[in-house]
Amino acid sequence: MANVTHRILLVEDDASLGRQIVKSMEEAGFEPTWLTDGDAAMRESPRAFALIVLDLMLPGAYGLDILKHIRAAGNSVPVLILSARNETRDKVRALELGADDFVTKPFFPEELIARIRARIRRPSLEAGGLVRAGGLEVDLAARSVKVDGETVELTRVEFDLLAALARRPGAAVARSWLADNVLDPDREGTERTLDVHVSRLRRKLGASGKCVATVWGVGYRLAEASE
Amino acid sequence: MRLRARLALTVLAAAAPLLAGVAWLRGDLERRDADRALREFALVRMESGGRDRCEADPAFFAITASPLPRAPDVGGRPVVELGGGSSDLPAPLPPVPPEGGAPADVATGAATGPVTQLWAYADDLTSMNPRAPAPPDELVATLRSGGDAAGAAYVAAGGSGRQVLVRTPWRGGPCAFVFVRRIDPAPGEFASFPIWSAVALVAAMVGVVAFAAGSVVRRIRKLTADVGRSADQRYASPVDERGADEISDLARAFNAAGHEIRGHLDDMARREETLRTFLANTTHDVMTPLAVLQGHLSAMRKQAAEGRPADAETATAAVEEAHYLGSLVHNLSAVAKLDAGPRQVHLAPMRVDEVVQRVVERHWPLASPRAIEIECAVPEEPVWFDADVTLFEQAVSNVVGNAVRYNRAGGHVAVLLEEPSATEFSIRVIDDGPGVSDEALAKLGSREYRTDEARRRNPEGSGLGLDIARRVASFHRVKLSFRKSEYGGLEVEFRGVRSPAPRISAA
Ligand SMILES: Nc1ncnc2c1ncn2[C@@H]1O[C@H](COP(=O)(O)OP(=O)(O)OP(=O)(O)O)[C@@H](O)[C@H]1O
Ligand SMILES: [Mg+2]
Repeated sequence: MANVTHRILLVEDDASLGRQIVKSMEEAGFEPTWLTDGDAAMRESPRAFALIVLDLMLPGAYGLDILKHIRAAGNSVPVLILSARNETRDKVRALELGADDFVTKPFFPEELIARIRARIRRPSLEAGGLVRAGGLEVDLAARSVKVDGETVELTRVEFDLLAALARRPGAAVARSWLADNVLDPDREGTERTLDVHVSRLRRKLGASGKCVATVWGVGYRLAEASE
Repeated sequence: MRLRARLALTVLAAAAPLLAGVAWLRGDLERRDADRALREFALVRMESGGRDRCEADPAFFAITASPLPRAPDVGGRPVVELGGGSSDLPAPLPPVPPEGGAPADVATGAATGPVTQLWAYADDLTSMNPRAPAPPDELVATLRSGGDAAGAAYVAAGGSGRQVLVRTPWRGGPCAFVFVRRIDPAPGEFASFPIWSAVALVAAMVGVVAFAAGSVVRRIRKLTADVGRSADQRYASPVDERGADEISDLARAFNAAGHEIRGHLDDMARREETLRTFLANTTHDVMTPLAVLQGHLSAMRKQAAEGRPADAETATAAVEEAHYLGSLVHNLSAVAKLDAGPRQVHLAPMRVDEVVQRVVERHWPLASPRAIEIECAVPEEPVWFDADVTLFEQAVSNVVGNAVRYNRAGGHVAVLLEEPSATEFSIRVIDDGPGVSDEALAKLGSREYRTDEARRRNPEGSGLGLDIARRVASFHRVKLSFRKSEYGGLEVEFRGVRSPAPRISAA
């Protein structure tokens, strides 16, 4: 994912804020296009971008009109709304018009980048079938797991556990959720049983076992081995 | 005055046709009376000898009598009876001698008083007496079409009165019809209408109305003055509404409206006051962290100017301060929204999982410089809840913010969105910081509580955070509970009932 450069359209009329956002987007490895004017944004083709960051208060076309325009054209590019008003009405309206998320001002650049990453990552997940993390390769459709190319035999519970993490790579999954959804409900599906399964799974995965990371207070996550 | 004039005019407009109607009715009755009297007179006269005389000598038959005959008992009255212009006729009625023994003529009678004249006509309504007048056509027409008698007004230079054409019961011969005419020399009594008494009556009515209206006008004027006074006092005092008529109703209606206006005014004043205190508090609350932030920034600029790298501690403090400022402003606006009442709260289907993720991501910049790990987990499927997303997110944010802020370096914060039952959702915010004492724990959910240690450790905290969380939770019927976490710190839980997924297709 790191070697693909995503183009991002930023529509923000404030010069200082715009400059800062552009800088942090570039640092995060994105390729931003910055427009300060709503009417100019109306003329831009949304298809060229992986994501659009839209300020609500803009000179020219109002942010929501641009959103309406994009969605009316049948384009489903993720749209992230920036808003200073923190008004529920605006947010609800934006979501109704097809916005994907909103970030309320003030925000730290890290927060915005995190939001953008979360939105860009999502579609590749849904396409999913094959998930890679470190030397680990999980084929969700075929229900097979390879470590450094070698197939590893897993029990049903172990595979379901790994698959549950692999479906959302990088995201933590609660132990309670895993216990409820992965463990056999007939046999006591407690969280302690879950921990036992996880340690067995880790052992089977060998060096890639650390890809199944423990998340404090939460549960487990499929992480890049380098972490 | 305008009202009075209007009422007087109304009375006039109503009285004039009324009086005219009464006058006409009275005249009509009088005319009928007179006509009947004339008919009776004619028939009595003809039956008591008149017919015989007429049939004997129709060319000369005529009767002139004076004064006015009344009722059928003509015989009891002095009547002058003359032949139609000639005196050689025998006196027909025994008790009536020719007046003054001399022939009197119509003109003489006319000069002294009313005169009644009578002529006879044959079947074809022609008279053998050449001096008999032709009866008016309308009367002839009425009798021809079968009537027994018909009367009409008589107007001439010498006087006016009534004239009646009568069919006799014997219906034949030269005297089948009689035509009677009564002439009043002066303006006819029948036509005369008491103009002056009518004028006096109308004037009296107008006067009475004007007088009666006086009290109404006075009360309306008083009400007007009262209303003006009440308005001057911003509707604080009601107007006098005693009485049970329409004016009292008006006063009551005004009082009701005034009461409502007063309510609005009070409401506005209250809101203005709230806004003023809010502004004052906000200014005060915001200025302190802003000053701290400025201090940090100025220190960093100095370090840069001296060619030193900015020290991480100052930078982190600046980040924390800026973060705190942001959440403070959001908290203040949340308080304003909650204070403004439920109408300002905008409920809509909300993705709880997205709220949790946003809140956690917002706290990364705060947690990471202090090596605090903050993580969250949400179910695979969306979790929906009807809420005001701004308020709800702020409530969760305050709890998560506390877990980060009151944590120690290297600590952990976990935020878990779970579905503990088929209908519920639960957000648990768990930390492994120092936590709170047992007694402080018991009070955490109550309003404006802030532990002493916290005040010492972080004196710029405003104590709004949990208060807002508590109010938002109760508004949304979400249970907010505090307990010690299994890791030693605090565990805060929001637990509510999930809503069904809305039927809007997500893009
Ligand atoms: N996770 C926690 N760990 C330890 N103490 C906490 C925690 N959460 C809350 N407290 C205590 O509860 C008090 C009240 O918290 P609250 O959020 O209402 O106010 P505040 O944080 O002091 O001010 P504000 O949130 O308005 O900036 C805090 O001052 C702190 O002492
Ligand atoms: Mg707080």
